[in-house]
Amino acid sequence: MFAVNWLAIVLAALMGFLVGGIWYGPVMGKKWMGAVGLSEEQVKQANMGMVYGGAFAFSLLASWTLAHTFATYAQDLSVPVKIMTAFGVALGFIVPALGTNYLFSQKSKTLFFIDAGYWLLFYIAMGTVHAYMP
Amino acid sequence: MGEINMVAVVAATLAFFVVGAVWYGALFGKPWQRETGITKPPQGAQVAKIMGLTLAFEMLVVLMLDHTIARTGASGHVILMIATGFGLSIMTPAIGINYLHQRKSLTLFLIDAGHFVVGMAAAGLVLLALR
Repeated sequence: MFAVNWLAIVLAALMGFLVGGIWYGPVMGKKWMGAVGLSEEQVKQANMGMVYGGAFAFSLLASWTLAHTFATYAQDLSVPVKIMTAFGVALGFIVPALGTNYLFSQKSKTLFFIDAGYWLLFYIAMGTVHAYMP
Repeated sequence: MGEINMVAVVAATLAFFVVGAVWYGALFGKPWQRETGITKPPQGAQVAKIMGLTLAFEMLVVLMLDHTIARTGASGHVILMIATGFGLSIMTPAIGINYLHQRKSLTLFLIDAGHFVVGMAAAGLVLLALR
């Protein structure tokens, strides 16, 4: 459980964070705000330390889980297989979880695709870091 | 992908679905309605669409779980740990980050994340029992 590369865990979480900044900033920022129904003022009102600190803590947990999962595989995985596995984790666990939540809470397809797309990119970024820094 | 026991996969999917029905019905239906502001249940064709897609999503999760168990060679209680652990440390952080940015309440986060942790545990239990 602790025999993991901690530097890689922090770096991978940072990469995920960076991808998020780009995805929810210049790429999808406006679309996301419209889809989620928040105004710029509402977004700015929140406690930013709590939002970003919490998000980073969750990213670290996700990053550790990915490293731990790779470490417990029965066989050694090559770099491309690790990146594919990370992508598969997002596609097979996170995207369907968001899907069911968003269906029941009657969210738009746009929001689902923006958020699902983010998780696929997040895990590709994390998977790449962990694949090169086992 | 390795060999897939379809009976176990379907049973685990149904277990996940039943957890959801109890979770958002008898257990946390009221607080969930309060937090989301959704009070009217979906009608007609909408019901079939939501339920059908939910079953499909949950089956995808169970197939991935089964595949992970096969690839890691896990057995016994390790299967339960993987299932619950993925709910806790893959699905929960993703929901958490999304909800932080969407400015959702802690209550809604705990209800929705809890559903996946318990649903994954139930799915893992069925996969373990029907191996």
